[in-house]
Amino acid sequence: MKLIWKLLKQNISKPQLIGFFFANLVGMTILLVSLQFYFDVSPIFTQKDTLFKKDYFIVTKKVSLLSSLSSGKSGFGKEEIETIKGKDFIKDVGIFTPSQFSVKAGINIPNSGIGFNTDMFFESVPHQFIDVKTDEWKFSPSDNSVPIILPKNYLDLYNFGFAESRSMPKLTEDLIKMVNLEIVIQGKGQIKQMKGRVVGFSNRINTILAPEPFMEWANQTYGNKEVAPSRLIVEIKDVTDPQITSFFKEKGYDVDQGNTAASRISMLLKIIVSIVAIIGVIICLLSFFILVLSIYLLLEKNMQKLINLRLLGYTKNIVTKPYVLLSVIINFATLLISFILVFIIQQQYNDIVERIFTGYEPGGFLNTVAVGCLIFLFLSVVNIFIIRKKVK
Amino acid sequence: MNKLSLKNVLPDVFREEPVESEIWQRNIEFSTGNNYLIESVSGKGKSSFCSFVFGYRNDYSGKILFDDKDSKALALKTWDAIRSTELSLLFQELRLFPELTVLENLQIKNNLTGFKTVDQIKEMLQHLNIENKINQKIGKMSWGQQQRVAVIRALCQPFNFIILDEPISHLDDENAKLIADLVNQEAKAQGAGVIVTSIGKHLPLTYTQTFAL
Repeated sequence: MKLIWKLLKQNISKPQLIGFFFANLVGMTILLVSLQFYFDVSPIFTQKDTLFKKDYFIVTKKVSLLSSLSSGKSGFGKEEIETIKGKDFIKDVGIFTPSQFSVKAGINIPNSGIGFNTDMFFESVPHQFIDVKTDEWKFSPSDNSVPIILPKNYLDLYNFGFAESRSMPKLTEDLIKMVNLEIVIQGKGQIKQMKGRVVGFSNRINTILAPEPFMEWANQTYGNKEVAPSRLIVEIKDVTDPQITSFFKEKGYDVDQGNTAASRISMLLKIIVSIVAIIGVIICLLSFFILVLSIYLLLEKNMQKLINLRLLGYTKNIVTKPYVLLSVIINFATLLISFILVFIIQQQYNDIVERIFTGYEPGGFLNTVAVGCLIFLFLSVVNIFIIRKKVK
Repeated sequence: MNKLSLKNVLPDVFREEPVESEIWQRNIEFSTGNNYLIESVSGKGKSSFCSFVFGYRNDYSGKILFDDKDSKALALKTWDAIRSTELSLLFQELRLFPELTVLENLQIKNNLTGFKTVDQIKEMLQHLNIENKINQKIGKMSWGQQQRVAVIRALCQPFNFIILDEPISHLDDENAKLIADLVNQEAKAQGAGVIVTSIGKHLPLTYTQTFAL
């Protein structure tokens, strides 16, 4: 084998191989970095908040001077809801059911005499529209306790607005979940005392949510009068559909588009990452051609030697082995170094992304490593195939 | 392999012109243990004959049989085995590696077959009076010296037939005699057949049969 290598390493062009090595390294690194970035950042837009996966609008009627004076007009009638449901860009419509009874909530710390009470309200939406998934989100009339979901905004408002300016301690979600609320509901001349517990915080729905079964039961038992829903939550099939904006504008509805921004950002992110990844693929392919060409050239220059070795009785496996090893080793070296580069680059952008998105956690390397290994395997197999095809 | 036979073999290049030959378009059988001489002038297809038998050219009609197997039907892997254990060929163009030394050129074959020891190789070099060149690069040697190295290389393997394509074209009678001795001795030891081609001077062996190509 030593002699074979001595013979066949003749004519190996170092500049060509170095050229390939760097081209492949650049291509591979760009490709893997863009993938790693995508794997890292996409959970922010997809997994963490299930509502971000789909596109939801919250639709209200415009609050105008006139409508605020003549209350009652701000609700959606049955017909209006049916019209919205009938549009083909709408997938599903959920109604915000308001509480038709009075609600007081309070905190009492036992044996301390400290406590406070406030007037409050509840709303409910069908559970499939809620972005907080928890087992505690259920109610039956025999229960004496109501699960509650608060908007994440409320907590942020307190933590970053109020607490910051008064140098008061910040509250975590878990801390608030531990607080027991005293809830008093009142209507139709009856009073009921219940316990309330915050079970989650919603990024999407800006209201104090109670479970739908609770609302049905409470409205029936304590409700004073039927109130038309003033807010709807709609699931959109395709945010980019231009009909959506024109439809809502025409009807004079207000649309909360907070999460369309998110879905647009995520779409933009996907496009940018894809462009970068495609550039990586192109560079990879080009560098691959350089390798194939230089191996072709090398084989061509050494063809007489290869033929002679074959005529001496050397098998194809043995005579192609030096070139197979050469290309596989180079491919493997680029793979390893690009993994290291991906790791270093990830550290760099982690800091930036963390500053922009709170709660950002870099994903694992596993996916990127798997993709890198697949590319390495693919390139090596094609290389081996080409080499073995060239040598008769 | 005990028998090497040609059945109506004709190189494609001779298809258009009539051929007067004792090899082409005949049925011929070479058997182990015998020495054969194929004589001809240039351009009659000596080297074609060698390349057909050795399986690196296929531009002929008819059949070349190893025992009863059609050589054209053999798999590449089978050829690898045949070329290192059953058939040995001294190429007219030698096909040595100029960037390797004499010893390396011989070892590259012997490493594959493991047939000779380094001492045996040195003995053969000594027999042909080139043992002092053992570490010299082939590229710097005369054709006659290279021919002798190539002969030794052809002997660094087991074989049933050895084919020598103009083995002494650049050698004097004395060296021709030495090569003849070495080949004869080796072929006898293996019970092998020897097929020699020649355009003038013959390798001095006792031939069982002579063909005019």
